[in-house]
Amino acid sequence: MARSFKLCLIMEDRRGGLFFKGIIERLKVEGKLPPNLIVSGVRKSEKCNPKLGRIVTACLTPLRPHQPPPLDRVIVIVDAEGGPVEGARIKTLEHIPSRFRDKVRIVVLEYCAEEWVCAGLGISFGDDPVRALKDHLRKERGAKADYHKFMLAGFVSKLNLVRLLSCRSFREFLKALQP
Amino acid sequence: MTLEGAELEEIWIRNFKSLKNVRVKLKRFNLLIGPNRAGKTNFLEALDLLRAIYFPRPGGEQVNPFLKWWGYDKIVWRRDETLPITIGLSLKIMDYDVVFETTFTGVGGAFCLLREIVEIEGVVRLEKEGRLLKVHHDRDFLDKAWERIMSLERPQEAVPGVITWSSEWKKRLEEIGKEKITDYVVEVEERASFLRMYGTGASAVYLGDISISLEAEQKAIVLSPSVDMVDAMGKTTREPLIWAVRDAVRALLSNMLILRPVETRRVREQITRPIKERRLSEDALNFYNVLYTLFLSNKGRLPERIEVAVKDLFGDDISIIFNLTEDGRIYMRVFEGELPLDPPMISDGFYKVLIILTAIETRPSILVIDELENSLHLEAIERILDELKDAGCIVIATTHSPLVIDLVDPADIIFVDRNEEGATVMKRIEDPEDLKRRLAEAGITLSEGWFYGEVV
Repeated sequence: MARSFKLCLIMEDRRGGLFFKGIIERLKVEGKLPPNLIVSGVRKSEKCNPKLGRIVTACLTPLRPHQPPPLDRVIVIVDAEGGPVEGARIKTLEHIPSRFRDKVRIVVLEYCAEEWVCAGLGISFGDDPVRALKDHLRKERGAKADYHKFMLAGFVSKLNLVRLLSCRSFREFLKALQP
Repeated sequence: MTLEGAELEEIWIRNFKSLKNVRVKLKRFNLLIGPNRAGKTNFLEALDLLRAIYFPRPGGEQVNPFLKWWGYDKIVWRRDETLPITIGLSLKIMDYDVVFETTFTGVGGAFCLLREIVEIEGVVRLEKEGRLLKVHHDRDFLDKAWERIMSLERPQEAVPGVITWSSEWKKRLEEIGKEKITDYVVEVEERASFLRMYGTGASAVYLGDISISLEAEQKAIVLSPSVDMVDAMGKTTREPLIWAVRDAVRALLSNMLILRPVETRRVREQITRPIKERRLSEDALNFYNVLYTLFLSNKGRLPERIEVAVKDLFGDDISIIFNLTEDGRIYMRVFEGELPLDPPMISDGFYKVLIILTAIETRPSILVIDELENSLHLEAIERILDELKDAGCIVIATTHSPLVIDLVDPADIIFVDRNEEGATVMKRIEDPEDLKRRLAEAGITLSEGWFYGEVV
């Protein structure tokens, strides 16, 4: 049996954690990811925060001699919020200690996690995926329907993953999940 | 326009406990951090007192809002009863800047409202001092409003249930004259207040975009723009702006929820007969009833926010139901897979998470949480912080924990401490982005900078 490949997801809003974990589980079920891939934890960190470097260090440093590090991979998911993607990546990378950079992957979302929901549901979102999602829900469920971040994970099963491949950040996420 | 536009922007407090003179700008999410005895809880209690003054609960506070604190001398700065306490709010209501400030005393054991100011910038200022209500209209606004009123021959629209415009009205205003309306004083009852319409019999006449309201038993004439309000049922009604402001301040104060550090052991044991309750008490002892009410109104399911968070923090196999005892009392049962867990088997952290999420779901105007981190694991704190930032109301939370500081944006933090005099000082970081950059360069976290160094 293959050794498990353990990873941790770090993001600004913890509520995105169930969403990304849900997508990973779906990809595993559909055979697109190896079954030994395990999400060991979801951590919250503001971007551009020295705390990020400390979390990465704790995740990847073995504290007992001759032991492997607690985790094999750390994936930091960052919202560019419409700003330059590479700028957000560089700013985040500054907080990752250089000795761990080979085990850390940074996935930059153009706006936020909702862009995947829009892409996966076939909703065009312009430069505001949250607004587009709200409008979509109102059209679908009535004028009083609203969208809140805690609903994010509920969309996982409804997404068309093939459509989602059109998202650069989703492809980057898939790459980051490869052991 | 709807009342959802009412936003609390700033609070100032004078002479309340250690808050000799503080002024704090508020954002949607505000985290008060400081050592013990810095004055964090005093700040929250000042809000509690303001609510108790205007919205007394049945019982002691109705007679004397200071009873909860064992008397006025226990809450006034340095126990100096000669000092009045002032609490002021700056609000944005329908794009208007509004100030509501109240000054009071309790010397001699009785509550006494000394001065109350309501100002809608660019429209009108009402200042009540003792028995006198001073009305001052903004000159530019009044010029325009007066011109509009005097050009009218008949009402622009009839509104059922309110007095209508007539030639007598116009005559009455002409007799009084614009100059007198600009600034004048009327006598009101000593205990009268803006939020209670300075007495009974308030009425209004609507003239298109201008309204005239008669306050203080119809003695005070107040001009303000007319605004359209949408009620909960989606029905639009026209109101004078001054009434809309009154409604907004009332809603803000009456719907504020203050959660004290939760004693989960007591909450767990409060198994009572089910009563429909939509608001948590400050000790959360009515938690089962409030969550049960939410559960019923959501067709026998927990609100999605709560359900998702519980699964995130405690596992996918967790579910919650409500059970009745043989004598008709209600309690919460948690299932861990097939395993039923009754209140004595449920952890403190589980209760604390549910209580805070329930508080959010009751949609308060302001949610105040003292000692946010108590009983909570870091993961739960992370989740709760994200939920609070998205709670749809103003949130003011206190903490002692460095863990919490490192999870929030420095711009959201208010540092609380005492100065040499022993008075509480509250400060925000002036340039959060610059501080983030400096911390990153130094390789230290915000909590380290705050605890071991100096960040403000």
